[in-house]
Amino acid sequence: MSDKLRWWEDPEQVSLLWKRLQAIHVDRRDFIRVVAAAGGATGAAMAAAACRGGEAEPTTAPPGAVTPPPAVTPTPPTAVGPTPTPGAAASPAAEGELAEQQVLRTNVEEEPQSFDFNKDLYAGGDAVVFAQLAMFNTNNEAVPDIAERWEPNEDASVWTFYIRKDTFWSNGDPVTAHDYEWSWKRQLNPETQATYAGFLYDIKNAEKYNNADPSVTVDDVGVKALDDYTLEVTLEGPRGYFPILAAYIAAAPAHRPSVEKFGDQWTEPQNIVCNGPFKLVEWKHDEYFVLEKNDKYWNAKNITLQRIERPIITPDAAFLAYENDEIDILYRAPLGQLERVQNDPELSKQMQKYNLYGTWYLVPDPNFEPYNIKEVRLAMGHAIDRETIVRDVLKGLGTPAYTMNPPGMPFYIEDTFPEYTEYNPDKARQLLQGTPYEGGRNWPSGMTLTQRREGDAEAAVGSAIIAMLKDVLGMELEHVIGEPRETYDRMWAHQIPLMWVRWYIDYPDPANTLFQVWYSKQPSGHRHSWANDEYDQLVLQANGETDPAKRLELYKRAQEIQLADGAAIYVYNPWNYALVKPWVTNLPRDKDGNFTPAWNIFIRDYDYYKILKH
Amino acid sequence: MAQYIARRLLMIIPTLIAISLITFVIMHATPGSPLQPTAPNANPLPPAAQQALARRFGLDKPLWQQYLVYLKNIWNLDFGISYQYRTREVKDIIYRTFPISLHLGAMAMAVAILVGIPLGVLAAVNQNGPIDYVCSLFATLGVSLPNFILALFLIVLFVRLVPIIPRTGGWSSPIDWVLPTLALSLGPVGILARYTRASMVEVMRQDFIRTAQAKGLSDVQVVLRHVLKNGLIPPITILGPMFAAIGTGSPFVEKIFRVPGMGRFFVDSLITRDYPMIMAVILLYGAFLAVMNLLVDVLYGVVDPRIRLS
Repeated sequence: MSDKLRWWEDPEQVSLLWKRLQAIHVDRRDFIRVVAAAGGATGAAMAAAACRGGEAEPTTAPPGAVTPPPAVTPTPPTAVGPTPTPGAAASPAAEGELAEQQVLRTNVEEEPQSFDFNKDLYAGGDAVVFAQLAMFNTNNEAVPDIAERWEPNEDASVWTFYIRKDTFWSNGDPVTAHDYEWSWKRQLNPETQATYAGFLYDIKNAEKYNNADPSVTVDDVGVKALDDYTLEVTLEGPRGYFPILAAYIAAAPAHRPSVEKFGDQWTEPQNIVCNGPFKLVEWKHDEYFVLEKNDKYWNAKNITLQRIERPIITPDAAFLAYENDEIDILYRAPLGQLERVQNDPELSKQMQKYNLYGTWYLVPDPNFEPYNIKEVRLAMGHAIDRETIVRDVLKGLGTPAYTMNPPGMPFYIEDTFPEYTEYNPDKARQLLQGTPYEGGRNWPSGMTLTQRREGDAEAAVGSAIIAMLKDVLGMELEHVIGEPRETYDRMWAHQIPLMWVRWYIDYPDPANTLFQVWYSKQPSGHRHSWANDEYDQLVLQANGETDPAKRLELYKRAQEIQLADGAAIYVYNPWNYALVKPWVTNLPRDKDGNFTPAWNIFIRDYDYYKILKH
Repeated sequence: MAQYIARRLLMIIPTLIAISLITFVIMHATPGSPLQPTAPNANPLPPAAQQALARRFGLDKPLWQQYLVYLKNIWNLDFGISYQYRTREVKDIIYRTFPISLHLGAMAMAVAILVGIPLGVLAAVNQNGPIDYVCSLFATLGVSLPNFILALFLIVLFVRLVPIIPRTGGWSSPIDWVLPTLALSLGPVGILARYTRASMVEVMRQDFIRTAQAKGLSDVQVVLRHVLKNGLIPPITILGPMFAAIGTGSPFVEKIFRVPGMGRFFVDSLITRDYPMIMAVILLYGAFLAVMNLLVDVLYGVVDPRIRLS
């Protein structure tokens, strides 16, 4: 661990990064993706361990699963190519002629509070109006943006960013190192009341300054413009991941003269000055806002869109607006319309499904009645008709799951283990024979199926499961949909008898599922209470196995042990879908060809889209 | 008369003070203050910033002081800064959104009166006939169909299936007014029609109507001159509060049709614990309601000469 630049191998740095990202409510999954992008499987395992809140024991990183960390140099010696790699999907020749007016219309669900991302990254406007020192590409890697390059000192505790000289604010002012110094200090100033200032606490004295510690002044904060185009950031210690922080919208700048002149009103359209690829030109409160390309942004020549119109449309009405050609992209299309979309000859072509790479499953905790009896758990596995759930409840937006690892992932287990997972009501009832619940009677009163509040689809499947269990086994379950955080806390404390829960894949390796979820000796806590020594040994061994065939065999054996004991009942793998009009082309895609819409880590998808004549 | 109105207007002031006090107490008793770092969904501010924020909004003072300061401020029409939209003053938000809701509400009210009352009259005159049943059906639908369902239904019908209206929502040209007005008015149409019918039927059984008919007046004259005038008292009574309710905006109709009105703040301000906004919308509604009730009382005198205001 002497090389602090390989920060993804340093548990301390990884857990610090997690703390920073938690401060701004970044999803655990996004965090692990980012670390995985930098450090491969080692990084991801570290990240996942850091999320557990405990010490990231190096042993929790599956030794065998380690793909050698890619030769990511956190210090790109020169600027990357002028275009943020529009991906392999771009083949303009075959796509047809571009429209004269490059206008994209897509709804925003709520009236933004402001566009002051420097003060609050969840301000709700469109983050594309500001550019950070770095940005994320579609593979979640931090690449240069306003800084054309950066370099750390020997132990990565001081970072120097070299700002481009060819990028300007929308009013023509040059973007300088002073802008970032001033903006970050503005965010840290307690008088600013910036909600997520904790994100910048890696900067030396930032935490003290933000907490109004009398021993520090604003000049002690470790960010300093050495000259107009050189920004030196001194950190509290070695932080190899700092460029990732510098790429987040939480590190966005604010335009000092505007803030000083207009105060809180500086992001109103008549006042705002932007440095991102787009600028805010119009904002009719509670109705819509309009962005136009900022020609003074360094990479403007490689961005095709000229104008983005964002009407404020509540999700309930957005689908109708999409159908009526009022918007070009509907990022979150409604599940209730799925069947119609699929059967519609036109809409079905506009559907952009994206795999969420996850598994929804049911966990009967063997420490609670009646799940302490193995036959009850096994009977439940045979009482749930997964195919019907996927076909009728999810309308095909998902796949039936029989094992933990979702399809499309390496080491996916093709075997569905029908002996334990086949839908067979007779077999389910037979299993109850000899238990106190024979014939579907005498179930304890007050049984519940608990999940955390999420989408409609998940709750609908939960209800379907309850109906099936009642139908086949006579179980009377009450559906409890709990407050998210509270429910997960109780799950980790093993207080929930029957949990309906999901796991989203963080990085493509079964170490992330069968090992991280179910290995019962995790030093940082155990998600579910079920434990089995033989299982633990198999998944540990699998982590270290280098022969893929043998490794798959080990996982298969482990999976079978788990299913044979009724530890979990896997039900389905979720997908989601967006609707994109046929004239929107050059969609951003990751290296596997999946559509990557802008989510929590703010991939700037507008940089990619091109509008065809229509 | 003028004295009566002046007295009633003065009475609104203590009413509003009472409303504000009750709202203030309940609001602060609800968990999830904007300044409780431990409350769910609370902000993750460090203590120093928390204190700065509290100072800025005056939340560091004892409750009774906060209330008195608030009363003093609204006397100068200063409703404070919205907690949810910290760059905007509550006053500015209300100035921008209330006229739009009022505009929409007035149109919906006009439709309700122009359709609902004739519908009720028709139903009463044709009591238990086919027209009565059609009116009943219409009125029942109007009352029982939630307006956001109706809103979506209207979009499907008039934008998608029979494309009379070009777009699903907005507020930039009069064509955008049509659907939200319809969606908002159907409920009041139903209520008004039922009230009018019931009171007309009762009046028609009175002796003086029989006298009028015996004098040889035509049916139309009897209905217009005698029945309607007496039968309108109950509908007028509900017109006041009804207008106060729809004139301050409907969260659902406005959201679905993208009407930039103030309706959504009745819901959003509570969810976000936006204290100044909660107080403002409730006081506005209270004042509106009080004025409408006064207006109704004055109208009674016009419709029914027996009522003398003093």
